[in-house]
Amino acid sequence: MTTGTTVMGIGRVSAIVAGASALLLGWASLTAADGGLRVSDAWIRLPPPGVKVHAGYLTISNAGATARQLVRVESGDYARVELHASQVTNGVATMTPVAQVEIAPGAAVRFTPGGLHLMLIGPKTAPPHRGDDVSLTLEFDDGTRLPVSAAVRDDAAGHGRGQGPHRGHHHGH
Amino acid sequence: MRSLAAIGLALALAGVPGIAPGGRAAQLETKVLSVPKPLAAFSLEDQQGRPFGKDRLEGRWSLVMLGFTHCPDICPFTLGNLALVVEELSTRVSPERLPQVVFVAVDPDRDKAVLADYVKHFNDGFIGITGSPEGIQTLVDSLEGYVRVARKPTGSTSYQVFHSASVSLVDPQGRIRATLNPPMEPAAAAAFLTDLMRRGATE
Repeated sequence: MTTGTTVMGIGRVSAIVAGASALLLGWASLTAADGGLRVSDAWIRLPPPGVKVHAGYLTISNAGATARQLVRVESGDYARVELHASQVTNGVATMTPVAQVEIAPGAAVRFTPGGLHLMLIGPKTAPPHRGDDVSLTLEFDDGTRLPVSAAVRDDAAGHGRGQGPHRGHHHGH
Repeated sequence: MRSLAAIGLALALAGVPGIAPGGRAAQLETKVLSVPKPLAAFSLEDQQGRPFGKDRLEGRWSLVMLGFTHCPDICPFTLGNLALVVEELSTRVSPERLPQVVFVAVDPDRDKAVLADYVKHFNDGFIGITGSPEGIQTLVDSLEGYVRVARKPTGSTSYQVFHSASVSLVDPQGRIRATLNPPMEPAAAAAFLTDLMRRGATE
């Protein structure tokens, strides 16, 4: 999906070639060494002005036969990126750093508001605007590095809507 | 050592109901107080630096939440959620009955400078209030909430803040009437609030 967006930039003339390339690129960049890892729906919440800590979300699926650990995330646009989990326990919201996130074989892990999230700390340039794409690199325990492009948007738009602290629900509109 | 992998898996599983079909759209976690609880007097400031005490929570309905501006995940989610709830409510109730949304910023050292821009980001009408730790604690206690700012002795600007996640509904007499737990499905929350405010007006 992310590479698809990149390829679109090539232009309509080579639409068919681009389509084929998208598949190939998709295979190359979204697929881990064991042919299993895939990242989709990466987004960053449009940050309020003045705030130097932003949150990002994505879904990682593992079609491979081996459990994989997400061990690190980097972005050239931020001083550092940490993995965090929000939780509401007895009505109190807490946020805990997570060293790594396991993606079991055949499973998908969804980072969502109120749950697992990327904490993007110290934007290096101007804060991102709605519609910007932020480049992230995900690193796994087997050395796989997946480049991901995360779109900057509001919570309310798209399918992030309705997911939230400590329980999700399905949206009818 | 606890298995972090297990935590990751548990969270992943916890997320499953959110994407599973099951018609949970109307689900809303609320608690209505059988006896309205009057708030104690408190002394804080709004995002323009004007005094904000109990009187500013009187004469109209309010939705009050605790949070801090360096909270990247839950606080912006809840504020965005409240913006949708208020938008939904505005189609059901008259403007004078539309609750004001008040964000109590519990980490004044980091919140004060950015509070005005912060609340406006979610809705032009949202109010942000903060003040001294004691002033904040008075209001938090009155809301039967919880706040802990885990400042570091090193003076580092990176520290954790723990706070109640719920939203309190305060009536025009300055009394807590109900609490709502995010996430709030906007239409369900609007229906709940409309009903409560309609009944509450006669009490």
